[in-house]
Amino acid sequence: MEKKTKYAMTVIAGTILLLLGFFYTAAEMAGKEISLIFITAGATMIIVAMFRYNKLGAGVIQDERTRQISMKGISYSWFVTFLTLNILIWVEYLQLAELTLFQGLGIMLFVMIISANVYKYIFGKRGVKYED
Amino acid sequence: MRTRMKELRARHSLTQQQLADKVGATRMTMVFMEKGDYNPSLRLAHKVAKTLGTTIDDLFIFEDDE
Repeated sequence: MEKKTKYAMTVIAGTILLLLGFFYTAAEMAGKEISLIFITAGATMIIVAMFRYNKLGAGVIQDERTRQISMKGISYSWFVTFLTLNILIWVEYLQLAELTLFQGLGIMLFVMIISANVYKYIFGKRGVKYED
Repeated sequence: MRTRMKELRARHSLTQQQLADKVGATRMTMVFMEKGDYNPSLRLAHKVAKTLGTTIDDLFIFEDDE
């Protein structure tokens, strides 16, 4: 398997583990230890794969356009997270659901990570175009 | 905005990846630039123009200039 593909697969697997960990934490479906193991393993896999990918000189993987996409994605993600926070506050205020602080934080973290990546994907496909 | 990137790149027998490597950018950035879907920084525009043996003025064509 090509090195580039291998590292990409490791990042994908790490992301899945990380998200499973967050999901289990938020939904309280598994014990805290298991969720923590998933999160730690996922994060480690992503960091190690990215570090090795860069170290082996797999070509330019980031430039001014990708950095702009990341920044734009993160700012949009911030807004989505802000809206989610507002919704959670109203849900709590109107007593529509009983959420613990941990669940609330888990949902926020989940929304932030997912929306940042979704926006990055969308802008990556569409491009960042600045018109007058 | 339109560019003459594709034409000049072909004249220099460069692929998008080769041009990207020469200017330190990703291939996708070259794709978007060629389509006129990305406004590069002055620095990147200068690098691309220099690599293709031309000037920024000659490389990018703005609609109001036509």
